[in-house]
Amino acid sequence: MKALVLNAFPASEKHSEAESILKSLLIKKGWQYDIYTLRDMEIKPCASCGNCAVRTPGQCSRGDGMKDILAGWVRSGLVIFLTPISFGGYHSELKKVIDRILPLKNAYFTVYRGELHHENRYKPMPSLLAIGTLGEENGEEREDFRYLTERNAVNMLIEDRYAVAVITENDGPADMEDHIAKALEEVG
Amino acid sequence: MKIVSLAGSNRGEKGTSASLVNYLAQRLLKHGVSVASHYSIHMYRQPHRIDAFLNELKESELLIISAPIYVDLLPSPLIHVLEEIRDRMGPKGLEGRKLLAIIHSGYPEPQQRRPSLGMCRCFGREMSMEWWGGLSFGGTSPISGQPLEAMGGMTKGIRSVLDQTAEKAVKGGLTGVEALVLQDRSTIPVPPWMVRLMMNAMIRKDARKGGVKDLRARPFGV
Ligand SMILES: Cc1cc2nc3c(=O)[nH]c(=O)nc-3n(C[C@H](O)[C@H](O)[C@H](O)COP(=O)(O)O)c2cc1C
Repeated sequence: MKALVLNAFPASEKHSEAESILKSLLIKKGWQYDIYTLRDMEIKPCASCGNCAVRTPGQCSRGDGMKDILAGWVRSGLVIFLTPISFGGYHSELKKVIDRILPLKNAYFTVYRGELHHENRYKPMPSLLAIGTLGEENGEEREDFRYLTERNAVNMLIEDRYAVAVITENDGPADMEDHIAKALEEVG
Repeated sequence: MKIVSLAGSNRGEKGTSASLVNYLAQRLLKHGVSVASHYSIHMYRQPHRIDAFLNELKESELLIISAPIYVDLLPSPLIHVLEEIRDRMGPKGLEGRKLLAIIHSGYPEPQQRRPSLGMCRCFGREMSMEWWGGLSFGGTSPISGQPLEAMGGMTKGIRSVLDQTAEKAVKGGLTGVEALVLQDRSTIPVPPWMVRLMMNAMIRKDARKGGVKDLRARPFGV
């Protein structure tokens, strides 16, 4: 099974070891992985043109690194976000990728859990693991981050195939490993 | 009262976020208050523009964020600007300023907008701002940058909320708000299953007209 890792840590990230901890846990569980370090990639903002839905179905008109990420996304069993938590949500560096995943949806509407959504273009969509880092413990941001990941899982129509790990200031490498391993167990 | 607005659409002046905040600005002007407009996409593309924005923000009493939902959350360029404000101004940099958020989305359900409203409130807290509440609007895609009045009855509910908000803002009626959401409105009066039926028929027809053969095409194979 393949995992796609989107690393949105800035160069100054205090918990940057989370990436190597994650890698060794993935290897232990027999996963192969591709890692994209987003700060090194030039990804343009979504043009909100709608072309990927109606004019060139499934294809984005913007030529940049997103094409490889999208191709990897649909071939993966698990997508993993590594992100600082910004105001209870994703860091802008990760969000620039998420804003561009509309080609994975098609134009048709469906009703899922009583809500309107677009159909998935590719099936099945991978499970989702969101690993967020917080400067200091903040219960509200922790809960907002969890809820956002739950909303993504609803949007991606992946049932309950998602998990969340939050790493805080006081977590050392052993705590980090523990949090990530538990979350990985839930989805992997 | 000095007010600054920040529209968070990647479409800048052409987006629905601008339509909503422009309408509110017109109402505020009727009460004698003007609003200085800014757009996160321009600051993202031309980072030097952030300086002018921050200077205005320092002088202002109220910041109004107007933003769409892109995949369950605020668009990346807007989050980037909020991160820049935090990093450059520090945690007390906007102490005492007020914050009002207008969050809107294509889908009608209020839960679609909750993470973005939460994100705005959390930004306000980190900056020591006073939260004046969030307005939550669903079914806004058809507005697409047009003036709200031009949309007739479809935007009546939204306009009424914005009228009330303008009045409350100038009369100090938004102070001490605890709630994440002040009011929620959707432009879509029918249940999801009916929207699905109607929209899918329209999408199919438009695709045929435009010569698009397979809307479910899978360019990446699998
Ligand atoms: C990239 C992208 C992602 C979107 N994701 C969502 C979504 O998750 N939920 C939703 O209700 N609407 C979603 N929409 C619809 C927009 O929120 C809606 O069309 C809004 O009116 C756009 O406002 P704007 O013109 O100010 O950008 C999305 C639109 C775009 C372009």
